[in-house]
Amino acid sequence: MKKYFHGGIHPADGSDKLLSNQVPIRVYTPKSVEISMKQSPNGFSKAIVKPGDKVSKGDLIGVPANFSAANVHASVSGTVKDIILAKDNFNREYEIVVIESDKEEDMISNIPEREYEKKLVDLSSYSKEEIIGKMKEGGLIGMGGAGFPTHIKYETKEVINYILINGAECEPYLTCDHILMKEHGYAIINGVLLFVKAANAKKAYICIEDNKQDVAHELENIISGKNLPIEIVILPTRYPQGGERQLVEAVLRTEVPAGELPSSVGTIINNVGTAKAMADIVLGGVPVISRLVTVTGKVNTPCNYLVPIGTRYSELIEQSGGFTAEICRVVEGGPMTGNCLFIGNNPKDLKGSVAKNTSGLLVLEDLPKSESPCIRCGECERVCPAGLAPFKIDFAAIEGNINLCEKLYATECISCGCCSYVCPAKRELAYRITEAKNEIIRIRRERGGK
Amino acid sequence: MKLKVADQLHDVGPHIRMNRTTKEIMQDVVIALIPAFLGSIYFFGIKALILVMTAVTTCVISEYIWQKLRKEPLTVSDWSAVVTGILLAFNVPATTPVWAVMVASVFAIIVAKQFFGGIGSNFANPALMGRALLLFLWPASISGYVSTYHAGADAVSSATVLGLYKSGSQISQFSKWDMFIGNIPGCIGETSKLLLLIGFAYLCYRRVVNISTTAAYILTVLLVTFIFSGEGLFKGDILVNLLSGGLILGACYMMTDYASVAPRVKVTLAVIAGLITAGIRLWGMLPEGVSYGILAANCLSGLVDNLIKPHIYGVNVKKSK
Amino acid sequence: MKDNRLKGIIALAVVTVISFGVIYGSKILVKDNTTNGNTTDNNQNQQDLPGAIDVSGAEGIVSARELTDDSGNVTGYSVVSEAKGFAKPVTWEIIFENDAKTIREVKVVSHAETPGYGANMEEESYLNQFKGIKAPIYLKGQAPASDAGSESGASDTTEGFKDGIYRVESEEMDNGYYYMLTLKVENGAITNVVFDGMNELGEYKSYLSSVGKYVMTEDGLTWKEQADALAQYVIEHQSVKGLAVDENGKTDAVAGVSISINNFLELAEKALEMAATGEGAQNAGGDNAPVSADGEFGEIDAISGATFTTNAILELVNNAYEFIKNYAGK
Repeated sequence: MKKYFHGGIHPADGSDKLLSNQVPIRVYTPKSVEISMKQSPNGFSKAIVKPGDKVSKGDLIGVPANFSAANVHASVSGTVKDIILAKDNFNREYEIVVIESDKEEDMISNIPEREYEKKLVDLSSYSKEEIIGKMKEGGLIGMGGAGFPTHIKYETKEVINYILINGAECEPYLTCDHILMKEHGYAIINGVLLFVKAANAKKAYICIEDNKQDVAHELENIISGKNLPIEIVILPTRYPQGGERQLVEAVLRTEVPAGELPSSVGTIINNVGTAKAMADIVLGGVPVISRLVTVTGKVNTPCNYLVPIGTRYSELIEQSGGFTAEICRVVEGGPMTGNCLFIGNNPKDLKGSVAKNTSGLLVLEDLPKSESPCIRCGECERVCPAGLAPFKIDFAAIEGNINLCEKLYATECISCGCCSYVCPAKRELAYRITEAKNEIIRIRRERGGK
Repeated sequence: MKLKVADQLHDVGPHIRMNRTTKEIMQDVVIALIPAFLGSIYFFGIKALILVMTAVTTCVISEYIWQKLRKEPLTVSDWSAVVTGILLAFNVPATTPVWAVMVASVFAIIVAKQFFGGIGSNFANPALMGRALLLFLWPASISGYVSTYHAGADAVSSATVLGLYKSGSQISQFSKWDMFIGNIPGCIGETSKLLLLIGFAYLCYRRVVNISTTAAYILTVLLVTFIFSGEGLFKGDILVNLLSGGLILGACYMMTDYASVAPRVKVTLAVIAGLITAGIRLWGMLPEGVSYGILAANCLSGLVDNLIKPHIYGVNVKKSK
Repeated sequence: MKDNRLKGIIALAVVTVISFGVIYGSKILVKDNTTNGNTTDNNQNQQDLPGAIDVSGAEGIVSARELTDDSGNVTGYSVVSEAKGFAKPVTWEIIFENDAKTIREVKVVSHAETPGYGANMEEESYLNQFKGIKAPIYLKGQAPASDAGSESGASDTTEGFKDGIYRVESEEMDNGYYYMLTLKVENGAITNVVFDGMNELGEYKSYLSSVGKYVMTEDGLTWKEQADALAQYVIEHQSVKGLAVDENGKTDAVAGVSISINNFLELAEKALEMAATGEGAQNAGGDNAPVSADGEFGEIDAISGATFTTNAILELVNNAYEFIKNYAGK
């Protein structure tokens, strides 16, 4: 039975993914890394090292300073060269730890060596509490983009029946999850089983879009005949299939109530990358210190890189042969929900480094855009996965009418960007609605209510 | 309170966009209307060309002047005024004086569209409003339905097929085939169903319109007239009602206008418009009800949109365990 | 997307060209198949058929032929006859029995009369009334007394008006309309007056005003109602005396009439002059209406509201009768 969610778009024809999923992974070890203490949109950690300290790969170098943060570890062995202070878009300060590597060491190589990467491992000796403890220790956060500390999700009081593993990778251009599933199937399955144990769940569903059938087959082969509480689910390719609420709608045929978390309907959702990292932490004893990053778009040699956390973006672009267009816009993440880091033509001016939740670095040609009046075509309403009427919220937001925005359920926006994508008048719908949503949440928090 | 606007708005995502613009959509509509336009010249002669050109020019100039005077950003280049002009001209007979078309065009653009905020904010279809103005103030100017040149006659006036059907007269001099290709008296653009439909097929192919709106409107009209318009129930002449008057023109090009028909409830509004059109055709004093039916649906658009609530993800959903 | 569009436009262009081919093609086909009021076509058709009768010299007769059965006996006659209707000729085929007097049936060949008025001749109920009646035909109640004996013209009466129908039309258009007035005198008195206007396109002003296409004011009588009121005045007063007008042509004499009545007055006065002397009178049967020699005749209903059409029908049927009577030697 086909599993659908409401709304959605098809923003690409497949040629985007072909740029980077046909080439083998490249391993890159930089000479120095910049590990940010802000590893997720709202999570700030505090550095516990200072310049001059010697660190080894895997050492703890940062501890959470707020609710949405996690432990941060050194991704290379060497010396702490500097601690840089930086500010984000909202003027919040955070530190960046610069470590210079002192060994020409091969970082975590691509070849599966350890046991859990070659076969399924017996997990009976691990208890639920232990697993969750390791999540916290290892600094495990959502590697699919949100970057929320995983252990907090699993510490929920709700009864969890199902784990949904997000292998959809619905954003155009990104292929790191695809490659990960292809190369590290066993590790992922082990990680998934750990999750199931950690939540006392009945079953886990690994959700894969139908443009990755090869991977689905491989995973099927791994689990077949072994009576595991895992099922591979193929979903139709559509954006944003990988959104939490859309997965719940498509796979579990139910909706997460407004304002609630997926745990309220008995499910926890994790990215496949997080599952693999889970296996690394518990079975490999290695905290989160590296990941796959897709570097693609207008670069000479797009491909997926296996890099330590903290690798500079400018170096990645250089490794890929530099820009191929005049003025480029560099996006961190996917083209629909990613942040624009930089617009220009010199990669050396590009700031920033790989964080735990950086799935890709996308280089697009920068084209001018301008908004024109809404023609009420209704396309945005048709594609919105949340069922909203974006053009109405847009009008209300421009007037500053927050009450109307609230009545129109701007808080249910998932910021997927489908509305802006289809708009023929090129209006910045997603942006304004997200702003309105944040404003409403801020006001509600001030009032003290929910 | 005002929301913070990004300094460079084009910094924000999404960073890829569908490459369809307003101008392209409007141009597609114009392209779709070209076959019917050529047909109108073939059937009604040079006057049809003059009227369409007048309407288009007057509409474009009106919009330009209005936006310049009001120091508003110019949106004339999005071709929407061109579409309004063509549709307005299509809705009047070939004997309409040029000045009437000009007045209607000015009214349609300035009052029916720009007064309410310009494109996307008009509450009713501007072309239909222009025609309604003419009907209201100078009915004689658009009353002369001309028989087509194609038939060999020299612009002999005759009533339209619907007029005959309604008064119970014989309409045998018009075959169904004539009605389909457009060899009947009527307004400039409404007569050739064949040409209108191939333009509509193009619009569907380009995803500019939603075929369910059109289908709902036509089916409602046909169903009601089928049941009630013949002698006795269920004896109405479906083909006559389908192929005569402005039904196909209205269903394909007016009902699918964006701003005046709220997007989510398009089909419901099409049914309402269909009921009113059928009602006027059957029991009203005019033989033709398409313009008023669609205008009525336009006016009810806001109300219906409020009455039929959308389903928002996660709202009114029970928590399940 | 651009490719998509180009493909769509090309497809549209191709289908449009094909459609025009179809439209133009059907026009050619249609012209071949139907007779469209062109008398020469009709002639050809009839003359190709067996039993054709030479109609040269006969006024208003398009064609005629004998109808025979298999053994060659004449079973009837078919005469295609035409007369001027409101704007263009009305052409009918009249089928007579072999007595050249009784009408078996009639068929409409072509006309350009106004729908809702003259075009109602097409209705089966109207055409059926001709079945089996005897020519010459008159409007019900208008048959001349059988011993009248006069071919045309009014009956002589010393006082009052001369019997007959008097038709006057305006020479020039006034404000887009021609006007016409018909006045009927029976037994010396005016019994019927009809006043109407027609525009360039052949539309009656009475028709236009009745369906709301010619509107003068919001309340008040329609033009047709006012025309009828003026007509009624003349019938009541048997003259136009008392219809005083001001410099705008308006009068107070008739209730509800606010139009300028100059057109009406001009035609009415002329008609009254003609009626007084009997000049130009037409009988109910038209200019050449034969008087029934044997006293038998047929009566038909007029078409409501279509005087000219009705007269045309009478004329063409009686012409056909006259022709076939002469031909058959009866």
